[in-house]
Amino acid sequence: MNPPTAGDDPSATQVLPSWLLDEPLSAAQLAAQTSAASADDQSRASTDEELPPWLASTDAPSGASVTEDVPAWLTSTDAPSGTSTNEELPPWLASTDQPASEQHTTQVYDVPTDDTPAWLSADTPSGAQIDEAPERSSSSGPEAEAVELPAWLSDSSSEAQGTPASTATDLPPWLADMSDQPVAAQPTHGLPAWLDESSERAPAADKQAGGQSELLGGLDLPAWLRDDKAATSPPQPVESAPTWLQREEPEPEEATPQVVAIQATPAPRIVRSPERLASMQMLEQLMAEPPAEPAPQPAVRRRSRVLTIAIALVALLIVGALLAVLLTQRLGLAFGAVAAPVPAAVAAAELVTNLPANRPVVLAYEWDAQRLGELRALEDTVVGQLATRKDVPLIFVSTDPQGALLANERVAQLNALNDQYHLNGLGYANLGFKAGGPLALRRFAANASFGTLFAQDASGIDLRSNDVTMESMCGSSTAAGCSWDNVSLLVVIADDVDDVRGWFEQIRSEHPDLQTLLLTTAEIAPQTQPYAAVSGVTALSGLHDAEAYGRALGAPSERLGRQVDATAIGGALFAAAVIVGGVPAWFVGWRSRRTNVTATEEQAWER
Amino acid sequence: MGALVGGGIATVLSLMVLSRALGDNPLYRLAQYLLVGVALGYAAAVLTGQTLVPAIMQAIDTSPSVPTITIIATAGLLFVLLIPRFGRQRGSTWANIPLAVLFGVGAAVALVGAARGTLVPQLLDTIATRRIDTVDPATIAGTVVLIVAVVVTLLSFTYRQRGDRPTSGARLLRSFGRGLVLATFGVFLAAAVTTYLTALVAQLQAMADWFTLLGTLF
Repeated sequence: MNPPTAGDDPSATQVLPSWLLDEPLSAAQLAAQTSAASADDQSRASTDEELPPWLASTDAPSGASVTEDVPAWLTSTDAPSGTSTNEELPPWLASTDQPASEQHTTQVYDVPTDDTPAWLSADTPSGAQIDEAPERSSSSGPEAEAVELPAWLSDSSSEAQGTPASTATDLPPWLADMSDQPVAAQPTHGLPAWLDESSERAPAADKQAGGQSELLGGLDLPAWLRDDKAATSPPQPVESAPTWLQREEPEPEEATPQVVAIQATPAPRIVRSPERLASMQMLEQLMAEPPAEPAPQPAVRRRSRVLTIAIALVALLIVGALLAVLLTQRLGLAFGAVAAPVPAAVAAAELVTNLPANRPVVLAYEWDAQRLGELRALEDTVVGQLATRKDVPLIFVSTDPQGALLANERVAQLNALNDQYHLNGLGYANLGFKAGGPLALRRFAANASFGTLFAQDASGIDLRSNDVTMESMCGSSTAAGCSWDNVSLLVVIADDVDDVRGWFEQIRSEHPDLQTLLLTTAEIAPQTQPYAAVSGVTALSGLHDAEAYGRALGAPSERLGRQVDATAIGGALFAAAVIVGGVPAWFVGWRSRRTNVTATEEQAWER
Repeated sequence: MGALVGGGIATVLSLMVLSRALGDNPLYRLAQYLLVGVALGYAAAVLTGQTLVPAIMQAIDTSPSVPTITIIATAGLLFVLLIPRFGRQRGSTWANIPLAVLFGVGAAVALVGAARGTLVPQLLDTIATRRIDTVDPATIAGTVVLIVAVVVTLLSFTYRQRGDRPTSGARLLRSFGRGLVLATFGVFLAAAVTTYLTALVAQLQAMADWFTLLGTLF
């Protein structure tokens, strides 16, 4: 803010009272002016020109208002102030040679700065220096100068007073320590509230300097819009100030132990039911009783020699009977001239016979070598018939490692035919093992993904780039043309229900019209019956159906016939062994149970 | 010659396995270990030769596509996460991630497949009108037996509190249902016995063939 000088505004000297024009400013008045000037200079220097008139006019008449409202006790402080301050001055400051009128100003500046060295005291603008200022010499009189200080003098006075916000930013570090003397706060004491506006601006300036309100800091806000919280917050102590000058925060009251009267809550009344009481008594009884003796281990009953001999005799009897059947002519157990045809075998034979040419058949090898006795016979008859047609491409695939092994064995047999059809990629494609089980099947379930089956065969070769293979297996030269719709038959050879379930759930559920031939063992035939009952599915199981399939084709196998007879004889002997052995087993069990019941009753009587 | 040697080995191993009928013995154990070891070794060879090696070689030899790199990188990451499960189990919690992926995806695929391929088709086939819309007495009888057996079997599993004495009719119904369940298990047992007898017959046939072949040499 540029304070109006006496030359610019003559009214400034006109409104001053005579007592103020004749005598120099008192310490309080000058301090009030310098405090207001420092606050304006630091916080609102850039916005003073935009101040409203009602606020801008508060600077000029401040001196007059001070003089009008200054109480009597304050107006009489001129003469004794110098005396009192001189008494409190340190010797090094009291010895300075200054006129009495100038000491007022100097005293105000130097009162709290007891630690100020002599060299800095000499630099402090004194009243003589103020008088020697050119502006003052050109003005109308010393009274006007005291009321309206120029900018350069206001700055120096504010520095001398050590306003914390201003000196901290404008002074070099080595001098900032000296300017932290809390002199500026002192002159405002004793002023009335209406004059203490400068003290209200100082926190605002501090807040702006601290960046607390950068948005509104430059605006001219009335008091009711200012941040009261920041204004009322205690000033933070300057770190560079001495400890004794820093304002100590009011220490929080120590947490005094408060005696809390704990009221003894009445214990809830526990009501136990008779069942709970009985349980508690039982637990207490169990705790009181000694631990029970370990139960005697049942004596390991060694198999008697007679029983071992009997089992061996039965086994030899069965094996002998089977060998007798296998090594002799057929027994003719069909109870007729010709064995009755098996409908499923007849349907399967017709299905394979009537397959369209040049449409592939997918052979899923999902069986292990331990079921070789049944499934090898079925596989021989069905795949053998497909191979003899020489117009049906065969695609071997498996999700079982041993199934892949058995597929390799079948492929080797096809290669041994040397019929110029069953060549790799033309008459068959051995795709080998596909890891993942149902997950692998799910990958190939869609029509669009059927071609990915040929991404790797059993030898690790990508058959999709082989035009002959693609044309033979898919009817298209590219893998994109492959589809399950081109497949004429799906043959699932499985010895596990999970394998059957995987193919039916993942593949056939996607293609309900796909003709399917299910070859299983007799063991899982009852469990796969639900899948076999679906339309378009034909199921054959066991050695019996394999022999029936051969008969349906018109080529009965004498070897398979004997094996079927042997199986029938073996089953009959097994049933006889169960029945014959069941009678003594039932009697032994009955006697054992009776003995146990008697012993239990005797123990109960003894108790 | 190959049939003679191979058949001879198969015959000897079959006799060693059949010796179990007389009791546990070292010959049976030797044949059992040999069978299990060969089966596991072959499975490992197939998995390595037809699953791991081709994928790795494809990624190394040719310029792999982005999907291939993504699949291999994901598989490698899951494999690395599975490693802490072995050894001292330090950080084995990370191994739950690949296992969760494996079992989660497997369960999802199995669930969808079971619903589409097993439950719905069997349910529709059970209530199909073709079972009653026929003049074949055998088919009609089969439908009646099916319905009665299903209802009685389900009723035999009814829950009752302890102490409640069932009526005589309920006891008869439960006995009939349990009888049907036992008959079903009897069918399963008979089917299994048939399979095992067939296997025995096939092995006896193979041994008989070998002995016949062996007899021709002398």
